[in-house]
Amino acid sequence: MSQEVPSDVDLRVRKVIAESLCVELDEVQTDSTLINDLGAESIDFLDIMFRLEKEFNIKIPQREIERNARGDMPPEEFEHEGILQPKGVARLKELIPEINPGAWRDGLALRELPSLFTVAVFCGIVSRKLAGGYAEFDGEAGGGGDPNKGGTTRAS
Amino acid sequence: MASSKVSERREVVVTGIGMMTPLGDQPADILRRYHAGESAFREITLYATRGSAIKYAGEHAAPDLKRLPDRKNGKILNRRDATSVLAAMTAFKAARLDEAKYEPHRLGMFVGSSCTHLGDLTPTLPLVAKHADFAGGRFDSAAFGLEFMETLNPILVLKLLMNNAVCFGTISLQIKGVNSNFMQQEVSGLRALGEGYLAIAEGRADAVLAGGTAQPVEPFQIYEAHHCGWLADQTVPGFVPERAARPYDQTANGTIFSESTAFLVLEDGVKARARGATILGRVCGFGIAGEGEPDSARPDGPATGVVRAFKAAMTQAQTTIEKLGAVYGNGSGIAVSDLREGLAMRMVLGDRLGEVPFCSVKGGLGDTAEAHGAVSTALALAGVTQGVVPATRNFATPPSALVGLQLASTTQTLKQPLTAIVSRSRFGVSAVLLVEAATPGR
Repeated sequence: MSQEVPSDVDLRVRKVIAESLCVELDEVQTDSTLINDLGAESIDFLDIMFRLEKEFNIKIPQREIERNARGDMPPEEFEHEGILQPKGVARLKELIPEINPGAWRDGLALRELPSLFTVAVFCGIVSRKLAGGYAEFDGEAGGGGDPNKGGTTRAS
Repeated sequence: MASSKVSERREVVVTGIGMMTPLGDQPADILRRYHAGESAFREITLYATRGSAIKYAGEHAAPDLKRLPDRKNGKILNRRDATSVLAAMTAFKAARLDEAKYEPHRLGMFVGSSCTHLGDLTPTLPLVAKHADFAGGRFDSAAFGLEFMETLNPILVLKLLMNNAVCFGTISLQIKGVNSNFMQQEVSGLRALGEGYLAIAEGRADAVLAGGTAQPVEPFQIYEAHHCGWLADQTVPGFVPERAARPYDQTANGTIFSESTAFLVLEDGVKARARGATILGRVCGFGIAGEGEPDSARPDGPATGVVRAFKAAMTQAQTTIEKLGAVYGNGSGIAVSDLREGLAMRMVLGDRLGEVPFCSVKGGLGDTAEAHGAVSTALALAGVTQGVVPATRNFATPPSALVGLQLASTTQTLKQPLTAIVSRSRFGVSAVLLVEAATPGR
Protein backbone atom coordinates (compact mmCIF):
# COMPACT_ATOMS: atom_id res chain seq x y z
CA MET A 1 0.00 0.00 0.00
CA SER A 2 1.64 3.18 -1.10
CA GLN A 3 1.33 6.53 0.54
CA GLU A 4 2.64 10.00 -0.05
CA VAL A 5 6.27 10.40 0.90
CA PRO A 6 6.77 13.39 3.18
CA SER A 7 8.97 16.11 1.78
CA ASP A 8 11.10 16.29 4.89
CA VAL A 9 12.32 12.69 4.85
CA ASP A 10 15.94 13.62 4.20
CA LEU A 11 16.09 16.05 7.10
CA ARG A 12 14.40 13.66 9.48
CA VAL A 13 16.72 10.82 8.47
CA ARG A 14 19.73 13.09 8.97
CA LYS A 15 18.44 14.01 12.43
CA VAL A 16 17.97 10.36 13.36
CA ILE A 17 21.47 9.49 12.23
CA ALA A 18 22.96 12.50 13.99
CA GLU A 19 21.24 11.53 17.21
CA SER A 20 22.24 7.90 16.93
CA LEU A 21 25.88 8.65 16.21
CA CYS A 22 26.02 11.54 18.68
CA VAL A 23 27.24 14.02 16.06
CA GLU A 24 26.04 17.47 15.04
CA LEU A 25 23.39 17.62 12.35
CA ASP A 26 25.71 19.67 10.14
CA GLU A 27 28.14 16.78 10.04
CA VAL A 28 25.50 14.51 8.57
CA GLN A 29 25.28 15.25 4.86
CA THR A 30 23.47 13.09 2.39
CA ASP A 31 26.74 12.01 0.81
CA SER A 32 28.40 11.20 4.16
CA THR A 33 29.35 7.56 4.50
CA LEU A 34 28.25 6.20 7.84
CA ILE A 35 31.35 4.19 8.65
CA ASN A 36 34.19 6.25 7.20
CA ASP A 37 32.79 9.76 7.60
CA LEU A 38 30.57 9.45 10.66
CA GLY A 39 32.30 6.70 12.62
CA ALA A 40 29.41 4.27 12.70
CA GLU A 41 29.97 0.70 13.89
CA SER A 42 27.87 -2.35 13.18
CA ILE A 43 25.80 -1.90 16.34
CA ASP A 44 24.95 1.62 15.20
CA PHE A 45 23.23 0.28 12.09
CA LEU A 46 20.90 -1.69 14.32
CA ASP A 47 20.23 1.43 16.35
CA ILE A 48 19.64 3.59 13.29
CA MET A 49 17.23 1.11 11.77
CA PHE A 50 15.27 0.94 15.01
CA ARG A 51 15.12 4.70 15.28
CA LEU A 52 14.02 5.07 11.65
CA GLU A 53 11.27 2.52 12.21
CA LYS A 54 9.98 4.56 15.12
CA GLU A 55 10.42 7.92 13.44
CA PHE A 56 8.53 6.93 10.29
CA ASN A 57 6.35 4.14 11.64
CA ILE A 58 7.75 1.65 9.19
CA LYS A 59 9.25 -1.82 9.41
CA ILE A 60 12.72 -2.59 8.14
CA PRO A 61 13.29 -6.30 8.68
CA GLN A 62 16.85 -7.39 9.23
CA ARG A 63 18.80 -8.07 6.02
CA GLU A 64 15.76 -7.21 3.96
CA ILE A 65 17.74 -5.70 1.12
CA GLU A 66 20.08 -8.66 0.91
CA ARG A 67 17.22 -11.11 0.91
CA ASN A 68 15.46 -9.15 -1.77
CA ALA A 69 18.66 -9.02 -3.78
CA ARG A 70 19.21 -12.73 -3.49
CA GLY A 71 15.62 -13.53 -4.36
CA ASP A 72 15.53 -16.81 -6.24
CA MET A 73 19.00 -16.27 -7.66
CA PRO A 74 21.31 -19.29 -7.18
CA PRO A 75 23.50 -18.46 -4.19
CA GLU A 76 26.77 -18.73 -6.11
CA GLU A 77 25.55 -16.14 -8.60
CA PHE A 78 24.96 -13.67 -5.79
CA GLU A 79 28.17 -14.21 -3.88
CA HIS A 80 30.96 -16.75 -3.85
CA GLU A 81 33.00 -17.30 -0.70
CA GLY A 82 31.79 -13.98 0.56
CA ILE A 83 32.66 -12.01 -2.57
CA LEU A 84 29.80 -10.37 -4.44
CA GLN A 85 29.35 -11.62 -7.99
CA PRO A 86 28.36 -9.44 -10.97
CA LYS A 87 24.72 -10.53 -10.89
CA GLY A 88 24.55 -9.85 -7.21
CA VAL A 89 26.09 -6.42 -7.62
CA ALA A 90 23.69 -5.61 -10.43
CA ARG A 91 20.73 -6.56 -8.31
CA LEU A 92 21.99 -4.56 -5.35
CA LYS A 93 22.49 -1.52 -7.56
CA GLU A 94 18.84 -1.75 -8.51
CA LEU A 95 17.73 -1.98 -4.92
CA ILE A 96 20.08 0.65 -3.52
CA PRO A 97 20.55 3.17 -6.34
CA GLU A 98 21.81 5.81 -3.91
CA ILE A 99 25.17 4.09 -3.52
CA ASN A 100 27.77 6.04 -5.47
CA PRO A 101 28.34 4.06 -8.70
CA GLY A 102 32.05 4.67 -8.32
CA ALA A 103 32.06 2.95 -4.94
CA TRP A 104 31.31 -0.48 -6.39
CA ARG A 105 34.54 -2.31 -7.09
CA ASP A 106 35.55 -5.75 -8.18
CA GLY A 107 36.07 -8.21 -5.36
CA LEU A 108 33.81 -6.36 -2.93
CA ALA A 109 32.87 -8.63 -0.06
CA LEU A 110 29.25 -8.83 1.04
CA ARG A 111 30.32 -7.92 4.57
CA GLU A 112 31.85 -4.72 3.18
CA LEU A 113 28.56 -3.54 1.76
CA PRO A 114 27.71 -1.32 4.77
CA SER A 115 30.90 0.64 4.15
CA LEU A 116 29.29 1.94 0.95
CA PHE A 117 26.21 3.19 2.76
CA THR A 118 25.75 6.93 2.76
CA VAL A 119 23.05 8.92 4.46
CA ALA A 120 21.33 9.05 1.09
CA VAL A 121 20.99 5.26 1.19
CA PHE A 122 18.90 5.49 4.35
CA CYS A 123 16.86 8.34 2.89
CA GLY A 124 16.17 6.13 -0.09
CA ILE A 125 15.24 3.11 2.01
CA VAL A 126 12.82 5.16 4.09
CA SER A 127 11.30 6.83 1.03
CA ARG A 128 10.74 3.52 -0.69
CA LYS A 129 9.22 2.10 2.44
CA LEU A 130 6.88 5.01 2.76
CA ALA A 131 5.97 4.70 -0.89
CA GLY A 132 4.96 1.10 -0.56
CA GLY A 133 8.03 -0.76 0.50
CA TYR A 134 10.37 -3.04 -1.35
CA ALA A 135 8.53 -5.27 -3.76
CA GLU A 136 7.96 -8.65 -2.27
CA PHE A 137 10.72 -10.77 -3.67
CA ASP A 138 10.20 -14.28 -2.56
CA GLY A 139 13.07 -16.71 -2.77
CA GLU A 140 11.00 -19.38 -1.11
CA ALA A 141 7.76 -19.88 -2.97
CA GLY A 142 4.87 -19.40 -0.68
CA GLY A 143 7.03 -17.91 2.06
CA GLY A 144 5.00 -16.86 4.97
CA GLY A 145 6.50 -13.46 5.38
CA ASP A 146 8.59 -14.26 8.43
CA PRO A 147 11.43 -11.77 8.18
CA ASN A 148 13.70 -14.10 10.10
CA LYS A 149 13.36 -16.91 7.58
CA GLY A 150 14.23 -15.02 4.45
CA GLY A 151 11.86 -14.95 1.56
CA THR A 152 8.90 -12.64 1.65
CA THR A 153 9.45 -9.36 3.34
CA ARG A 154 6.73 -7.20 4.61
CA ALA A 155 6.26 -3.74 3.22
CA SER A 156 5.13 -1.19 5.71
CA MET B 1 41.12 -12.30 51.81
CA ALA B 2 44.26 -11.16 53.63
CA SER B 3 47.17 -13.25 52.48
CA SER B 4 50.21 -11.10 53.23
CA LYS B 5 51.56 -10.38 56.66
CA VAL B 6 50.52 -7.06 58.12
CA SER B 7 54.15 -6.01 58.49
CA GLU B 8 54.76 -6.56 54.77
CA ARG B 9 51.87 -4.44 53.65
CA ARG B 10 52.38 -1.22 51.80
CA GLU B 11 50.87 2.02 53.01
CA VAL B 12 47.75 3.00 51.06
CA VAL B 13 46.84 6.66 50.70
CA VAL B 14 43.98 8.55 49.12
CA THR B 15 45.03 11.06 46.47
CA GLY B 16 41.85 11.95 44.61
CA ILE B 17 38.07 11.96 44.95
CA GLY B 18 35.29 12.21 42.39
CA MET B 19 31.65 12.35 43.49
CA MET B 20 28.15 13.06 42.38
CA THR B 21 25.37 13.39 44.96
CA PRO B 22 22.14 15.36 45.26
CA LEU B 23 24.02 17.77 47.55
CA GLY B 24 26.93 18.38 45.21
CA ASP B 25 30.10 16.86 43.89
CA GLN B 26 32.79 18.02 46.34
CA PRO B 27 33.07 16.30 49.73
CA ALA B 28 33.68 19.51 51.70
CA ASP B 29 30.83 21.27 49.91
CA ILE B 30 28.45 18.35 50.47
CA LEU B 31 29.29 18.38 54.18
CA ARG B 32 28.84 22.17 54.35
CA ARG B 33 25.39 21.89 52.78
CA TYR B 34 24.54 18.95 55.01
CA HIS B 35 25.63 20.87 58.11
CA ALA B 36 23.54 23.82 56.92
CA GLY B 37 20.48 21.60 57.00
CA GLU B 38 19.96 21.07 53.28
CA SER B 39 18.15 17.94 52.28
CA ALA B 40 18.64 15.78 49.20
CA PHE B 41 14.98 14.98 48.77
CA ARG B 42 12.80 16.40 46.02
CA GLU B 43 9.86 15.19 43.99
CA ILE B 44 11.07 12.49 41.63
CA THR B 45 11.58 13.76 38.09
CA LEU B 46 13.34 10.78 36.54
CA TYR B 47 10.09 8.96 35.88
CA ALA B 48 6.38 9.58 36.23
CA THR B 49 5.23 8.82 39.77
CA ARG B 50 1.49 9.17 39.12
CA GLY B 51 -0.25 6.44 41.06
CA SER B 52 2.84 5.56 43.05
CA ALA B 53 3.05 5.80 46.82
CA ILE B 54 6.65 6.97 46.55
CA LYS B 55 7.11 10.42 45.09
CA TYR B 56 10.24 11.73 46.80
CA ALA B 57 13.86 10.71 46.50
CA GLY B 58 17.29 12.22 46.03
CA GLU B 59 18.36 12.93 42.46
CA HIS B 60 21.69 14.36 41.47
CA ALA B 61 22.31 16.53 38.41
CA ALA B 62 22.22 14.83 35.05
CA PRO B 63 25.62 13.49 34.02
CA ASP B 64 27.30 15.69 31.42
CA LEU B 65 27.57 13.14 28.63
CA LYS B 66 29.72 15.47 26.55
CA ARG B 67 32.52 14.89 29.04
CA LEU B 68 32.64 11.19 28.24
CA PRO B 69 35.77 10.27 26.31
CA ASP B 70 33.93 8.81 23.33
CA ARG B 71 30.91 10.70 22.06
CA LYS B 72 28.98 7.48 21.57
CA ASN B 73 29.51 6.32 25.16
CA GLY B 74 26.51 8.44 26.05
CA LYS B 75 24.08 6.23 24.21
CA ILE B 76 25.50 2.95 25.49
CA LEU B 77 25.93 3.93 29.13
CA ASN B 78 22.88 4.28 31.32
CA ARG B 79 22.58 7.11 33.83
CA ARG B 80 24.25 5.14 36.60
CA ASP B 81 27.21 4.00 34.55
CA ALA B 82 27.74 7.33 32.80
CA THR B 83 27.79 9.05 36.19
CA SER B 84 30.18 6.43 37.43
CA VAL B 85 32.63 6.85 34.57
CA LEU B 86 32.53 10.63 34.94
CA ALA B 87 33.15 10.49 38.69
CA ALA B 88 36.02 8.06 38.14
CA MET B 89 37.51 10.42 35.57
CA THR B 90 37.18 13.31 38.02
CA ALA B 91 38.98 11.37 40.75
CA PHE B 92 41.66 10.28 38.30
CA LYS B 93 42.28 13.88 37.26
CA ALA B 94 42.10 15.21 40.82
CA ALA B 95 44.86 12.77 41.79
CA ARG B 96 46.83 13.83 38.71
CA LEU B 97 47.14 10.18 37.78
CA ASP B 98 47.12 11.27 34.15
CA GLU B 99 50.54 12.81 34.82
CA ALA B 100 51.85 9.90 36.85
CA LYS B 101 54.12 7.38 35.19
CA TYR B 102 52.41 4.21 36.32
CA GLU B 103 52.38 1.24 34.00
CA PRO B 104 48.78 0.65 32.87
CA HIS B 105 48.88 -2.91 34.20
CA ARG B 106 49.76 -1.54 37.67
CA LEU B 107 46.60 0.57 37.69
CA GLY B 108 43.42 -1.09 38.90
CA MET B 109 39.74 -0.33 39.19
CA PHE B 110 37.12 -1.69 41.55
CA VAL B 111 33.48 -0.73 41.32
CA GLY B 112 30.63 -1.49 43.67
CA SER B 113 27.20 -1.32 42.14
CA SER B 114 23.84 -2.98 41.93
CA CYS B 115 23.36 -5.64 39.30
CA THR B 116 21.66 -4.47 36.13
CA HIS B 117 20.35 -0.95 36.33
CA LEU B 118 16.74 -1.38 35.30
CA GLY B 119 15.76 2.26 34.86
CA ASP B 120 15.95 2.00 31.10
CA LEU B 121 13.29 -0.70 31.16
CA THR B 122 10.74 1.78 32.50
CA PRO B 123 9.03 2.06 29.08
CA THR B 124 8.11 -1.60 29.36
CA LEU B 125 5.92 -1.06 32.40
CA PRO B 126 2.78 -0.22 30.39
CA LEU B 127 3.42 -3.37 28.38
CA VAL B 128 3.62 -5.42 31.55
CA ALA B 129 0.28 -4.01 32.61
CA LYS B 130 -1.17 -4.60 29.16
CA HIS B 131 -0.34 -8.29 29.15
CA ALA B 132 -1.06 -8.98 32.79
CA ASP B 133 -4.32 -10.37 34.04
CA PHE B 134 -4.06 -9.11 37.57
CA ALA B 135 -7.40 -10.53 38.66
CA GLY B 136 -6.62 -13.95 37.26
CA GLY B 137 -2.98 -13.92 38.33
CA ARG B 138 -1.75 -14.65 34.82
CA PHE B 139 0.78 -13.05 32.53
CA ASP B 140 0.94 -13.56 28.77
CA SER B 141 4.71 -13.70 28.46
CA ALA B 142 4.64 -14.70 24.78
CA ALA B 143 2.59 -11.70 23.73
CA PHE B 144 4.60 -9.49 26.05
CA GLY B 145 7.85 -10.74 24.58
CA LEU B 146 6.84 -10.04 21.01
CA GLU B 147 5.71 -6.52 21.76
CA PHE B 148 8.67 -5.95 24.06
CA MET B 149 11.09 -6.72 21.26
CA GLU B 150 9.40 -4.22 18.98
CA THR B 151 9.19 -1.53 21.62
CA LEU B 152 12.73 -1.36 22.87
CA ASN B 153 15.79 -0.38 20.94
CA PRO B 154 18.02 -3.47 20.65
CA ILE B 155 20.96 -1.35 21.77
CA LEU B 156 19.36 -1.43 25.21
CA VAL B 157 20.99 -4.82 25.68
CA LEU B 158 24.33 -3.06 25.89
CA LYS B 159 22.99 -0.61 28.44
CA LEU B 160 21.90 -3.46 30.66
CA LEU B 161 25.32 -5.06 30.90
CA MET B 162 26.04 -5.18 34.60
CA ASN B 163 29.70 -4.25 34.65
CA ASN B 164 29.71 -1.36 32.19
CA ALA B 165 31.03 1.04 34.81
CA VAL B 166 34.26 -0.87 35.26
CA CYS B 167 34.50 -1.74 31.55
CA PHE B 168 34.14 1.80 30.29
CA GLY B 169 36.06 3.24 33.24
CA THR B 170 39.11 1.08 32.58
CA ILE B 171 38.95 1.64 28.83
CA SER B 172 38.54 5.39 29.22
CA LEU B 173 41.42 5.73 31.64
CA GLN B 174 43.76 3.14 30.15
CA ILE B 175 43.63 1.02 33.28
CA LYS B 176 44.84 -2.49 32.50
CA GLY B 177 45.55 -3.97 35.92
CA VAL B 178 43.44 -5.70 38.55
CA ASN B 179 39.77 -4.91 38.31
CA SER B 180 36.38 -6.15 39.38
CA ASN B 181 32.77 -5.11 39.81
CA PHE B 182 31.23 -6.08 43.13
CA MET B 183 27.48 -6.46 43.33
CA GLN B 184 26.74 -7.13 46.95
CA GLN B 185 23.83 -4.84 47.72
CA GLU B 186 24.67 -1.98 50.06
CA VAL B 187 28.11 -3.37 50.86
CA SER B 188 29.25 -3.08 47.23
CA GLY B 189 30.90 0.33 47.38
CA LEU B 190 32.83 -0.28 50.59
CA ARG B 191 33.85 -3.72 49.37
CA ALA B 192 35.30 -2.11 46.24
CA LEU B 193 37.30 0.30 48.38
CA GLY B 194 38.45 -2.50 50.65
CA GLU B 195 39.54 -4.70 47.77
CA GLY B 196 41.33 -1.74 46.20
CA TYR B 197 43.11 -1.14 49.47
CA LEU B 198 44.18 -4.77 49.68
CA ALA B 199 45.35 -4.82 46.06
CA ILE B 200 47.79 -2.02 46.79
CA ALA B 201 48.70 -3.14 50.30
CA GLU B 202 49.59 -6.59 48.98
CA GLY B 203 51.52 -5.28 45.99
CA ARG B 204 49.12 -6.22 43.21
CA ALA B 205 48.70 -2.62 42.04
CA ASP B 206 50.33 0.78 42.49
CA ALA B 207 47.15 2.80 42.22
CA VAL B 208 43.48 1.87 42.14
CA LEU B 209 40.30 3.71 41.36
CA ALA B 210 37.69 2.36 43.74
CA GLY B 211 34.21 3.36 44.69
CA GLY B 212 30.53 2.77 44.46
CA THR B 213 27.65 3.89 42.34
CA ALA B 214 23.91 3.68 42.86
CA GLN B 215 20.93 4.86 40.92
CA PRO B 216 18.01 3.42 42.85
CA VAL B 217 15.62 6.16 41.78
CA GLU B 218 13.82 4.11 39.15
CA PRO B 219 10.48 2.33 39.36
CA PHE B 220 11.76 -1.22 39.72
CA GLN B 221 14.00 -0.65 42.73
CA ILE B 222 11.61 1.82 44.29
CA TYR B 223 8.75 -0.65 43.98
CA GLU B 224 10.82 -3.53 45.34
CA ALA B 225 11.96 -1.47 48.33
CA HIS B 226 8.45 -0.19 48.95
CA HIS B 227 7.04 -3.69 48.70
CA CYS B 228 9.65 -4.96 51.18
CA GLY B 229 8.80 -2.18 53.62
CA TRP B 230 12.21 -0.52 53.45
CA LEU B 231 10.98 2.90 52.39
CA ALA B 232 9.45 5.48 54.67
CA ASP B 233 5.70 5.74 54.21
CA GLN B 234 5.21 8.81 52.04
CA THR B 235 1.44 8.64 52.14
CA VAL B 236 0.98 9.56 55.78
CA PRO B 237 -0.78 12.89 56.37
CA GLY B 238 1.67 15.72 56.82
CA PHE B 239 4.53 13.78 55.26
CA VAL B 240 7.71 15.87 55.19
CA PRO B 241 10.49 14.24 53.16
CA GLU B 242 13.22 16.08 55.06
CA ARG B 243 12.09 14.36 58.25
CA ALA B 244 11.18 10.97 56.88
CA ALA B 245 14.44 9.03 57.21
CA ARG B 246 15.38 8.87 60.90
CA PRO B 247 18.50 6.71 61.39
CA TYR B 248 18.77 4.99 64.77
CA ASP B 249 15.72 6.84 66.10
CA GLN B 250 13.00 4.98 67.97
CA THR B 251 10.43 6.33 65.48
CA ALA B 252 12.34 5.14 62.40
CA ASN B 253 10.03 3.58 59.84
CA GLY B 254 11.98 3.46 56.62
CA THR B 255 14.38 5.24 54.38
CA ILE B 256 14.43 7.41 51.26
CA PHE B 257 16.60 6.48 48.29
CA SER B 258 19.16 8.78 46.74
CA GLU B 259 21.30 8.27 43.70
CA SER B 260 24.99 8.90 44.30
CA THR B 261 28.42 7.93 43.10
CA ALA B 262 31.84 8.29 44.69
CA PHE B 263 35.28 7.17 43.56
CA LEU B 264 38.55 7.47 45.41
CA VAL B 265 42.03 7.10 44.04
CA LEU B 266 43.98 4.80 46.34
CA GLU B 267 47.70 4.77 45.86
CA ASP B 268 50.89 3.28 47.20
CA GLY B 269 51.97 5.83 49.80
CA VAL B 270 55.65 5.75 48.92
CA LYS B 271 55.00 6.18 45.21
CA ALA B 272 52.40 8.88 45.78
CA ARG B 273 54.77 10.96 47.86
CA ALA B 274 57.58 10.39 45.39
CA ARG B 275 55.52 11.94 42.63
CA GLY B 276 54.40 14.83 44.81
CA ALA B 277 50.74 13.82 45.00
CA THR B 278 48.48 15.55 47.50
CA ILE B 279 47.69 13.06 50.25
CA LEU B 280 44.09 13.37 51.39
CA GLY B 281 44.17 10.51 53.83
CA ARG B 282 45.19 6.98 54.51
CA VAL B 283 43.28 3.70 54.37
CA CYS B 284 44.38 1.61 57.31
CA GLY B 285 42.29 -1.54 57.34
CA PHE B 286 39.36 -3.42 55.88
CA GLY B 287 37.17 -6.24 57.03
CA ILE B 288 34.14 -7.99 55.62
CA ALA B 289 32.06 -10.75 57.17
CA GLY B 290 28.85 -12.57 56.46
CA GLU B 291 26.18 -13.31 59.01
CA GLY B 292 24.59 -16.25 57.27
CA GLU B 293 21.12 -14.80 57.56
CA PRO B 294 19.22 -11.68 56.59
CA ASP B 295 18.10 -9.07 59.09
CA SER B 296 14.58 -10.44 58.94
CA ALA B 297 15.75 -13.80 60.35
CA ARG B 298 17.05 -12.30 63.58
CA PRO B 299 15.49 -8.87 63.91
CA ASP B 300 16.43 -8.27 67.51
CA GLY B 301 19.99 -9.60 67.57
CA PRO B 302 23.30 -7.91 66.80
CA ALA B 303 24.70 -7.97 63.28
CA THR B 304 27.64 -10.16 64.18
CA GLY B 305 29.24 -9.49 60.81
CA VAL B 306 29.92 -5.93 61.94
CA VAL B 307 31.81 -7.21 64.98
CA ARG B 308 33.95 -9.59 62.95
CA ALA B 309 34.56 -7.09 60.15
CA PHE B 310 35.64 -4.52 62.74
CA LYS B 311 38.03 -6.96 64.31
CA ALA B 312 39.61 -7.82 60.96
CA ALA B 313 39.97 -4.16 60.01
CA MET B 314 41.51 -3.27 63.37
CA THR B 315 43.98 -6.14 63.09
CA GLN B 316 45.05 -5.01 59.65
CA ALA B 317 45.44 -1.47 60.87
CA GLN B 318 47.45 -2.69 63.87
CA THR B 319 45.38 -0.43 66.06
CA THR B 320 42.92 -0.70 68.91
CA ILE B 321 39.48 0.63 69.65
CA GLU B 322 41.10 3.23 71.95
CA LYS B 323 42.40 5.04 68.87
CA LEU B 324 39.03 5.22 67.14
CA GLY B 325 37.76 8.76 66.65
CA ALA B 326 34.39 8.28 64.97
CA VAL B 327 32.13 5.82 63.19
CA TYR B 328 30.11 6.58 60.07
CA GLY B 329 27.37 4.02 60.36
CA ASN B 330 25.10 2.39 57.84
CA GLY B 331 21.93 3.60 59.58
CA SER B 332 19.26 4.52 57.10
CA GLY B 333 16.06 4.65 59.12
CA ILE B 334 15.12 1.02 58.52
CA ALA B 335 14.45 0.09 62.11
CA VAL B 336 15.52 -3.55 62.08
CA SER B 337 18.78 -2.92 60.25
CA ASP B 338 19.64 0.09 62.39
CA LEU B 339 18.92 -1.85 65.56
CA ARG B 340 21.06 -4.82 64.54
CA GLU B 341 23.92 -2.54 63.54
CA GLY B 342 23.63 -0.54 66.76
CA LEU B 343 23.65 -3.66 68.90
CA ALA B 344 26.79 -4.81 67.12
CA MET B 345 28.40 -1.43 67.67
CA ARG B 346 27.75 -1.72 71.38
CA MET B 347 29.80 -4.91 71.31
CA VAL B 348 32.53 -3.32 69.19
CA LEU B 349 32.91 -0.14 71.23
CA GLY B 350 32.62 -1.73 74.66
CA ASP B 351 33.85 0.67 77.29
CA ARG B 352 34.17 3.44 74.71
CA LEU B 353 30.49 3.31 73.82
CA GLY B 354 29.78 6.79 75.10
CA GLU B 355 33.01 8.33 73.85
CA VAL B 356 33.15 7.57 70.13
CA PRO B 357 30.89 9.77 68.00
CA PHE B 358 28.62 7.63 65.87
CA CYS B 359 26.68 9.08 62.93
CA SER B 360 24.78 8.48 59.72
CA VAL B 361 24.26 11.07 56.99
CA LYS B 362 21.35 9.26 55.38
CA GLY B 363 18.69 11.36 57.11
CA GLY B 364 19.73 14.28 54.95
CA LEU B 365 21.58 12.74 52.05
CA GLY B 366 19.39 9.69 51.62
CA ASP B 367 20.02 5.98 51.37
CA THR B 368 22.70 5.83 48.71
CA ALA B 369 22.52 2.04 48.55
CA GLU B 370 25.56 0.53 46.85
CA ALA B 371 27.37 3.87 46.89
CA HIS B 372 26.97 4.36 50.64
CA GLY B 373 30.40 3.10 51.71
CA ALA B 374 32.28 5.17 49.17
CA VAL B 375 30.19 8.29 49.77
CA SER B 376 30.65 8.01 53.54
CA THR B 377 34.39 7.42 53.16
CA ALA B 378 34.77 10.57 51.08
CA LEU B 379 32.70 12.55 53.58
CA ALA B 380 34.59 11.05 56.51
CA LEU B 381 37.89 12.26 55.06
CA ALA B 382 36.40 15.74 54.68
CA GLY B 383 34.93 15.51 58.17
CA VAL B 384 38.24 14.54 59.72
CA THR B 385 39.93 17.41 57.93
CA GLN B 386 37.31 19.77 59.37
CA GLY B 387 37.54 18.13 62.79
CA VAL B 388 33.86 17.32 62.90
CA VAL B 389 31.49 14.40 62.86
CA PRO B 390 28.23 15.15 61.05
CA ALA B 391 24.93 15.28 62.88
CA THR B 392 22.63 12.31 62.49
CA ARG B 393 19.75 14.21 60.94
CA ASN B 394 16.29 13.48 62.40
CA PHE B 395 17.72 11.47 65.28
CA ALA B 396 16.16 12.36 68.63
CA THR B 397 15.71 9.34 70.86
CA PRO B 398 17.19 5.89 70.33
CA PRO B 399 15.34 2.68 70.99
CA SER B 400 16.19 1.48 74.48
CA ALA B 401 18.62 -1.14 73.18
CA LEU B 402 20.77 1.54 71.58
CA VAL B 403 20.93 3.93 74.51
CA GLY B 404 24.53 4.85 75.17
CA LEU B 405 25.72 5.11 71.57
CA GLN B 406 27.20 8.55 70.98
CA LEU B 407 24.58 9.65 68.46
CA ALA B 408 23.65 13.32 68.13
CA SER B 409 21.32 15.46 66.09
CA THR B 410 24.00 18.14 66.03
CA THR B 411 27.55 18.18 64.75
CA GLN B 412 30.02 16.49 67.09
CA THR B 413 33.68 17.23 67.60
CA LEU B 414 36.22 14.75 66.32
CA LYS B 415 38.95 14.09 68.84
CA GLN B 416 40.97 11.41 67.06
CA PRO B 417 41.39 11.09 63.29
CA LEU B 418 40.94 7.36 62.90
CA THR B 419 37.48 6.87 61.45
CA ALA B 420 35.52 3.73 60.66
CA ILE B 421 32.96 3.44 57.91
CA VAL B 422 30.40 0.68 58.34
CA SER B 423 28.37 -0.71 55.48
CA ARG B 424 25.74 -3.40 55.80
CA SER B 425 23.53 -5.37 53.53
CA ARG B 426 20.09 -6.23 54.85
CA PHE B 427 20.81 -9.71 53.53
CA GLY B 428 23.53 -10.32 56.09
CA VAL B 429 26.92 -9.03 54.99
CA SER B 430 28.85 -6.30 56.79
CA ALA B 431 32.04 -4.44 55.97
CA VAL B 432 34.24 -1.96 57.79
CA LEU B 433 36.89 0.36 56.38
CA LEU B 434 39.27 2.35 58.56
CA VAL B 435 40.57 5.68 57.26
CA GLU B 436 42.54 8.55 58.61
CA ALA B 437 42.68 11.99 57.02
CA ALA B 438 46.04 13.52 56.35
CA THR B 439 45.33 16.78 58.11
CA PRO B 440 42.96 16.34 61.02
CA GLY B 441 41.48 19.67 61.95
CA ARG B 442 41.99 19.53 65.64
